[in-house]
Amino acid sequence: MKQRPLDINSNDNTLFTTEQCNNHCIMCCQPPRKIDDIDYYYQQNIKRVMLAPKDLPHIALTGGEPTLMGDKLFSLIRLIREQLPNTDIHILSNGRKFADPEYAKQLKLAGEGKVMVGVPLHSDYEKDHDIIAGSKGAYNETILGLYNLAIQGIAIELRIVMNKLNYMRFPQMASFIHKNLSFVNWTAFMGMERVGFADSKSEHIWIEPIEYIDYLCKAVQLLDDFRHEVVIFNIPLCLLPTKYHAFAERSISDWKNKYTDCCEQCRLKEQCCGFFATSTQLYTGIKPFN
Amino acid sequence: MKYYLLPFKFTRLGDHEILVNEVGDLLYVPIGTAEQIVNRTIEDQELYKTLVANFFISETRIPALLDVYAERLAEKKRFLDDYTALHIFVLTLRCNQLCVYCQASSQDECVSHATMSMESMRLAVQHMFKSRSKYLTMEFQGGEPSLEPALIRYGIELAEQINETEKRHLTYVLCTNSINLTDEVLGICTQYNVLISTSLDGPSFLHNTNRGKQDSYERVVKGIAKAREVLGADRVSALMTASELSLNYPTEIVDEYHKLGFTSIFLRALNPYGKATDNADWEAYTDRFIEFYKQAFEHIIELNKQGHVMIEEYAAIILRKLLTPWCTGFVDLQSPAGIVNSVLIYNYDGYMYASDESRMLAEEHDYTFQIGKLSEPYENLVYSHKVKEWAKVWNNETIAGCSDCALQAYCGADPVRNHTTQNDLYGFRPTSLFCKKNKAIIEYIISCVVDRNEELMPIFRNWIR
Amino acid sequence: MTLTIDRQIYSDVCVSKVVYWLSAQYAIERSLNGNTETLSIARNDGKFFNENQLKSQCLQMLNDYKLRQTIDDETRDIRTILYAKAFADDENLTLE
Repeated sequence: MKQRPLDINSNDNTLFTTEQCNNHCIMCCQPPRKIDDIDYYYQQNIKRVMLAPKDLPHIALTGGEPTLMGDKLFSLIRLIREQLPNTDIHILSNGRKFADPEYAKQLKLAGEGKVMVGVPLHSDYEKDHDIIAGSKGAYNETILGLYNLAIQGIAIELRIVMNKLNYMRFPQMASFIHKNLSFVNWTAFMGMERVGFADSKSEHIWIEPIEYIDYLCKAVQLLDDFRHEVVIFNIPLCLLPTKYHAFAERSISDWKNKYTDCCEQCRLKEQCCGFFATSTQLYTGIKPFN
Repeated sequence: MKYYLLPFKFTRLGDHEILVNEVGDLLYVPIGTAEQIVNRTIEDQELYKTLVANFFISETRIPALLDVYAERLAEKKRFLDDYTALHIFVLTLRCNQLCVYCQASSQDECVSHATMSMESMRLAVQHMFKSRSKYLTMEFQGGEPSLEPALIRYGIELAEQINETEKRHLTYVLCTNSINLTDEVLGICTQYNVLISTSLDGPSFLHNTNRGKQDSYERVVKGIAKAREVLGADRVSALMTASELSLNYPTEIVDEYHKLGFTSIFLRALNPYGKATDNADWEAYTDRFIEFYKQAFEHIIELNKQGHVMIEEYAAIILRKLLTPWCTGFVDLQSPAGIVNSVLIYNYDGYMYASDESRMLAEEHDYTFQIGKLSEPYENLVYSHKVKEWAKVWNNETIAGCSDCALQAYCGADPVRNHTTQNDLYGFRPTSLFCKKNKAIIEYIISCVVDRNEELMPIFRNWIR
Repeated sequence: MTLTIDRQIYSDVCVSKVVYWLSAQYAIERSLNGNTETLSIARNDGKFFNENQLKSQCLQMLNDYKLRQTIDDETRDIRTILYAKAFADDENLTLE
């Protein structure tokens, strides 16, 4: 796949590392492929890093699953640290490889404190998480990976993609995070992008935000009560009770961000994340704030 | 459905059942749920998932995440790693008040023989640094410790000197009735950042009656004001003790604290030691205290709803144990017990004691919890045969009446209290007033959280630090 | 009042725990005849008490302790392993 050029004015600069993944998340917007592409992208990314603007604030490593690069991940990170010393590195990973404490340790050494790992959690219940992740054993490895990252002092972002299979347990997940994963730097509840499997298998996966808003707000309240950082991504402000607007972020990558006609009359348009241009349909229930 | 049980406790609370796992996570469920879990007849699928996720049951014989659960358990007992953090220095029995419930058996202001020697202070400070805790609190008590400024200064300066190499985090606290806060005493407090913990029982009529002197309240209020002015309001805190008379005035006491600008209050019961044991029937006192606590608590909630800050400290501790994964360092409610593990006393008589109450027993010639002479080596004291005997009974996980109690994770063991009230280190739970009081209050706080969650969590969230 | 308990249903541990909690207020004599245990219960202070209420309370307690005993029996080993792991010095977390 063709990578977009790294651009200092963009809010989304990524290094795509592989199309392979050891999970098969049912709502994945980048469904994995079995293809031996690690070296291909590795070489490409080395060049991209060498040519990147030096004052790039963030760079993300995505895929597929970046940890499938094995030790090459650390080489790439070390290169980024060397070439772009002021750039924060955000790795999107299912976290499973970090169940190996040595791998987590190596990341700590390579990252020199500038690395954050974004890890999706689909449920507090093992079987539900594994079903959504499309892989048996995913949950246990992910949780253990989170613990090993925490032991190494690596910053962690927990990502909860909100879908039909997990929305009813948002409050229980919040409680679980508070009790067992309180070391994460923040938890992001993310609205789904309606592409890929989320669209083609929508009757299994898709759910409108208005159906889960109550569960979401309960979960956000619980985490906030105990002073955990929590954010809401990709949910427009008109779908959230005013009390929870403060948690919503302008989260959508600029190159796929759009607003619709009624947004033009909305007084909160500037603060609102809007919608995914890539989604096949808009959320239901949208209306402007007058 | 096939699954394996993990250890958990249960009991009925009102119309519900509570289930508590090994790290104190609580689930509020319909009555009969524990039985369903054991019989493998759970019908509620979401409950089933919650039980698995929260380590009440496991789908494999050995849970895959057992190490995570073990880490949570270790965190709950993290205070053990730090070892003794609170060190109480009882400087003197001299006092300038005659509190009706005085546990210290205070002697007159002019008596001088009941005061710690400089040599004892020197030995005591050295013992304090033998504890490996990164955080050391040096707390001065009495009698009235502010009557001994030279001793305070000597002790602090010695600690500061030793700390130049030790590099611990030192906190100093002066427990005073605030009547005698001279410029000299306040000077020491300013110089070394000493916190002031004072006693305020309530409005003037109550405080004066409790203290046995008619002008006590006025002088305390003046003392508090002076201390606040010199040290800053955040360096001055107050404690109350509920005498029998106090039990009639829950709202008045809370209002007094609020009026004087305090943002927290600790609703403390009397301990059955010292002069307090001359008083009435302890069972009746305990029952009345429980009622008093609830009434005062509801009034505190009202104040909070009106936008004022007023934290009840005992509840804050229980809430922290109940609602967070974090360790709590409250020596009165701990297992293993707070004695020795978290607190040590260096008494004016040149001896080390297991707890504050232990040295009060000695005033009545009961030396059961006297550990030994300060001149002995630390290891001989803290690892003595005596202390090892206490260690056999200082866990509530293993003693009769506590070992299967659903509230175990929130409560603690107190061999000293057992000895004092029941003449038995091990204790007999069915008649234990320590048990009765703690059970009633912990259950009350749990009910507040589960039955009145929406109403009270906005307040409780600010109490948990 | 007397209470007969089937010792094939309720173990000695269960009965002992009930007796433990009752003994604050009641004097209890236990006698075992084959599989039947008989408790003779009288109030310590000699006051009147509601026998039906006490019987029902005892039965509830017996059932509770029986349940607790099952939990204890089934979890004794895993609890030992849990505590050993929690308080051992090994830093590394591994999957079981």
